[in-house]
Amino acid sequence: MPFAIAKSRFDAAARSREEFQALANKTYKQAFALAYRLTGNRPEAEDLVQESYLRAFRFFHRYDSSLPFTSWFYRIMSNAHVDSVRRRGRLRTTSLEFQGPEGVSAWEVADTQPTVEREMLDRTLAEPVQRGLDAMNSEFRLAVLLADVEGLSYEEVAEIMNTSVGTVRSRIHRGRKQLRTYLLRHAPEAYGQVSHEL
Amino acid sequence: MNCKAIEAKLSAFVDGELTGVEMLEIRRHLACCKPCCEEERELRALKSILTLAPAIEPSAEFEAKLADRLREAPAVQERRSVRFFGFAALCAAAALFAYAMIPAQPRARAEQNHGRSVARSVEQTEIRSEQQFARAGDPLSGGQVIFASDTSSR
Repeated sequence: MPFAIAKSRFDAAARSREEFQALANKTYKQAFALAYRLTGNRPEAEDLVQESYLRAFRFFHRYDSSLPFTSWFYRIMSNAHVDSVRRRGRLRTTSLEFQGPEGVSAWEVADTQPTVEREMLDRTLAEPVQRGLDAMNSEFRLAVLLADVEGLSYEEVAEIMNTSVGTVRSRIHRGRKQLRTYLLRHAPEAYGQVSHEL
Repeated sequence: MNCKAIEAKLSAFVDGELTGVEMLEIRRHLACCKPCCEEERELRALKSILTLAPAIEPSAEFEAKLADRLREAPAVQERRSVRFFGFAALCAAAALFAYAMIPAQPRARAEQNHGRSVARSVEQTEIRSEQQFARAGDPLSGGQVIFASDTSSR
């Protein structure tokens, strides 16, 4: 009898491992894109994504499969990000001076579906936008990214950030204004042109 | 609503996150207020800049790296079952050992003592409640009772 229980437990664990692996395979690219926007560089984004998937796997038995996996996972990732920022005892500062091996700026942009607007953004605004995000208050940045990049509703963002919809509304509004102020100050021509075209 | 109140809600307006009444109110205001209208256009443009920004892809080897880390990580259920059965086996062994070590007579005496101690604790509880009653600590015993709403007695 105890062996039967043990076997069923191990089978369930193996099943959940497979299930988790499948979910991770399906979502890791999207998670990485968000992590990159949050951290501002590739090595930190990779660390954040790995750490978040490990945490999520540890608590996978608490995941309610009737709800979207990404919402649950982003909550874990946002907590992991806050922890890593706290651990380092600083907000993002290196990204503003982030340089490639040749001494040139190394913002990497992968264009999956080139459109006229996207090409224009690539050419002119991709780097200032990321720098503007880095310079933003971290809570505002997460709220803005979840709403604008991930396309989540305020309610979903509030759920992920463990706060009220009113707070999310204020964070998104103030975050967008911070980003605009940054772009107007550091890339006024490009911002003016793109903002006019859009 | 004045411009300041409208401005605070413009992002939520752009995202369609307001009630129908608020949306109508803001739309009506925007029709006749040029600065707020310009602000709304800029917020829409900012949102589009972020929405259209191309997604950054992880490196080619990242998927394999992540899969390796996940493969090495022990799942909670696995660890729990190992811990659960380990603990259960330990408890069973300890119980058997204890049973074998305690001689029959002292065991009977221990049971007797246990019965006596339970009776003593019931008795002590009864005593305590009677003492409380005698000291008028019980509100039903007629002692003075102050209610929270009774401000005159404070």
